[in-house]
Amino acid sequence: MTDDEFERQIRSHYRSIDPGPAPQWLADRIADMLVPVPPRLVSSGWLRTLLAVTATAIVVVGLVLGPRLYGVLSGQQPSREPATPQPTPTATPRPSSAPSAAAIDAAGTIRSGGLWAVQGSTLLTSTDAGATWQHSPIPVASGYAVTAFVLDPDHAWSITPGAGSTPFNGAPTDVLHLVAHRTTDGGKTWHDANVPGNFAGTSQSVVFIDQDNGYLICSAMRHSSGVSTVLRTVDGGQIWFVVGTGSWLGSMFTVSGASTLWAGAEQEAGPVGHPLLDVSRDGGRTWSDASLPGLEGQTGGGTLWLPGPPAFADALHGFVAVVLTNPDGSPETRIYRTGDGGRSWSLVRTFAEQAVGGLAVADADHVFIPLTGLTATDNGGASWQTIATRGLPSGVDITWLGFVDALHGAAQAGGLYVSRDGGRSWQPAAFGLVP
Amino acid sequence: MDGAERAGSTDTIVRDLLLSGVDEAYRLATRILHDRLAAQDAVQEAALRAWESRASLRDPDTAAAWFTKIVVNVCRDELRRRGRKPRVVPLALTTDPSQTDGSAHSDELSRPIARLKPDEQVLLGLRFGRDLTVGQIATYLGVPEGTVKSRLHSSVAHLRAALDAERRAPEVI
Repeated sequence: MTDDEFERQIRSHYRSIDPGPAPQWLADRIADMLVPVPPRLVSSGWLRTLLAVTATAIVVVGLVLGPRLYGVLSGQQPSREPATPQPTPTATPRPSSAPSAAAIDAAGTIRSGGLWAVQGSTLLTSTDAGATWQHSPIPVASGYAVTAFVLDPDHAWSITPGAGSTPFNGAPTDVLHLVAHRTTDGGKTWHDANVPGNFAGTSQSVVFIDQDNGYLICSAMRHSSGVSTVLRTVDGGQIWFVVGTGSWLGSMFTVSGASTLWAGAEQEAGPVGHPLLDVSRDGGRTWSDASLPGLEGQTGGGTLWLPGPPAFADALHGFVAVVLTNPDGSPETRIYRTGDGGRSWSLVRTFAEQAVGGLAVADADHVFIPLTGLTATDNGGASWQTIATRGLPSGVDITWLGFVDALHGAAQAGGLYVSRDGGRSWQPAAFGLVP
Repeated sequence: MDGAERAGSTDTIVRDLLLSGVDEAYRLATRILHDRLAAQDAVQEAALRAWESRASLRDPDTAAAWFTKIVVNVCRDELRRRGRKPRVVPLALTTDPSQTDGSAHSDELSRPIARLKPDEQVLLGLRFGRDLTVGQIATYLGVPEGTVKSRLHSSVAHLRAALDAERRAPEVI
């Protein structure tokens, strides 16, 4: 295909995207915003949504001030006192001539010490921290986010829409049936199982503790009923059953023990009241606030969110990052640590910028977060240092970070890069596929 | 015109712009984000930012470009957010046959486009989705025309490579 033909194809693609005029409610909302009015509750459309969230969120709505469209301000001002005073970090310049890496759709770490990534419908796994990669097919759905989990080189799972699912319109008539695909031979063969239920308006996250026991959360998104559902399997994904539900449980999902689950709020464009961080200690049946100091009972989405799920080195030691946009517009990221399995958390560091990706925990002492380029601790959060990195593309955010030990890790910055020296130098992951 | 008169004039200009420009902003955001619902959120956010920062509009003649720039920035922010948890989409977009060349290949670009960097997706959306000239894109992005040309060239090359990789990858489903 010539360049001209390809450009015609691109143009044709974009011309085929014709959403029609903006919906009337959008025009009305903007018109409302432009009329100077005294402070009031947000409009009925938003109020219907907010009525579905916790009582705390409803109280928060009553404190809206000014003609701000998204002005859901918390009555509780988060404490801004850092655990220890820190010098202002300086940005670490990255060379602009770094070789580009292959784009990927998802990535993760393997607990036994490896890495995995999904590129199109190919699963890539590495047991040597990214030095070499094995390829295998993985079931994915075109036009749908990759939801996958790799336990070890043999066992992996993928969640895709199933038969009878309708396109997502944010309407009550939407249908989303799910299929759980599993492999026990490293992707040579895959077996399917239907996940019972209609999960329209949700995004999925799946985590396995071992080859038999796993959890799937269907997290309510903006245009949904607000019910998040937690399902479990005890036979490796052959049969899935609902264990519990929670109002607006977020999609930042992880498991720190056989029955200890965490669901945190992802960032939203407007005020969707996900619980900032909830925990279940009974396998997903009941949920309660994780009680991060200074943020107890907070809901997240617009100005408060998790850039990634909590990360645990073991059942007791873990970290979580929380991103804030303060009432004065200033950015902030706070890092909390637990040493008792999340029963209590302590604030260990505050940064005056917002992390785009979540933190990576190599072990109880070594934690990495994509801030000021890349920042890390080697003493469990007592002190943090900015790492001068080489090899990552300039001007590209690190949207995912994973470290299998203190030295070996991977970062998604556009494409996937690997490091073997604790994040100081990075090379494009050599998948052996064309980027 | 004194300060109060100027402020009132700017309010009127921005108000009129936001009221009359919703459809165009929505169309642009949809073509960049490939997601009607995300585009609705983006236009709301952009309108809010524009209204709150209307005092920064110095030249009323540039109001349309000023608002478009805000829409583009909001879309870029959304694309960066997606980088953490990509939600590919465009399952509910309308396809108007008269707008295409009838090629069966136009839909196969959705996934490769979604895998490009946010700035590349924005650039392609402006160039091919809205048929803007290099000069106009340079204005919206605040970069030299030469930079737009070279980034456009590399964005198209990256898209082509991503599409080739997509076509070569074996389909399991």
